[in-house]
Amino acid sequence: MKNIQIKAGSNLKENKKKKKSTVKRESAKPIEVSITIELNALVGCNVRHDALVLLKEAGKGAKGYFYIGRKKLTTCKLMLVDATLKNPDFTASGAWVKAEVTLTLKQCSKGTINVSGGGGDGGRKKKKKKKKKGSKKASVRSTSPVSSPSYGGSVSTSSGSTKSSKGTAYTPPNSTKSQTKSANAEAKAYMQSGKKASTAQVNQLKKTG
Amino acid sequence: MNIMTQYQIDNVNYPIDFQESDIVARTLQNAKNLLMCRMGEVPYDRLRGFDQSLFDLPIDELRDELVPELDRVMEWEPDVEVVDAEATLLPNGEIYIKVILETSVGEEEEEGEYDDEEDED
Repeated sequence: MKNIQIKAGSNLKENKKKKKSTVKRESAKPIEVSITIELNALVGCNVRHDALVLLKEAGKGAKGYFYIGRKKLTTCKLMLVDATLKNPDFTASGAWVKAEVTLTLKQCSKGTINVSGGGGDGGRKKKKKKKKKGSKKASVRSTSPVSSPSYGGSVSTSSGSTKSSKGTAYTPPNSTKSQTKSANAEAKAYMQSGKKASTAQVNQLKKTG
Repeated sequence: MNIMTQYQIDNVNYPIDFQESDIVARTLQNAKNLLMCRMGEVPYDRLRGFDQSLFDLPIDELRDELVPELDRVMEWEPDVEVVDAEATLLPNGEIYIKVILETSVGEEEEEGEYDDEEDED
């Protein structure tokens, strides 16, 4: 494998103003990966078969994830959109000895380049986004899974290390505990007397537990 | 750069909380349930679940096959995306799998992250 090229970018919209024109981001361009693969019969490769399979898959628009080693390059699926066979070498009898195939893959599902495990974000300070009032997404986001780790996992961000919350049961804070205790005592007193309990009765029950 | 929250699940037994109300926790539970499920055990859906034959491979080969297999398994939960995974052979012979996931549930759109920067005239 050689000549790996990964392209990502934004579509821009020109913003014409009185003094000068500027550009504004419109949307993200799909991630594009291009690689050149060298096929060689000397290392046991069936050059003709493998090259033609790649050309056929490009015609079909094969989709999948792109792995380098054990790691995913992107968290989105890529589609094989182009394959070009170059410089094939043949023996005198017509057997394929080597060939180069250039593949172009384009993003075909939602996702980004996998940045986990890498460095930081280059010290770029992120601006705070204005949240819309009463939006559904904002309300969902506010409930962090750290506070309710019942899935038995942990949480992390791509820029930092993983915070483990595995095996920890959710314990309510002290104020909630005391509130629950007094409510229980009140309920007990109500059940015993058949009417709403007085503060003295509640305190007595609290002491006795 | 957009900071995407990542979550970690593993193949340690944990009871399912059927009353879970948090949408992210529910999605992660689904992912964990798929990881714990064995391929072939679900009638009429024999491909669902983790392929147990991978456990018979040497640990290095298992590590090579792990992320592609998890990508296949997580197709039953389209809201999560496998970022990375790790397999560790424990002293008692069991294999501990740790998976790092990203989920699109509960995240704001990443589009236009720098759009709110004011233009200089």
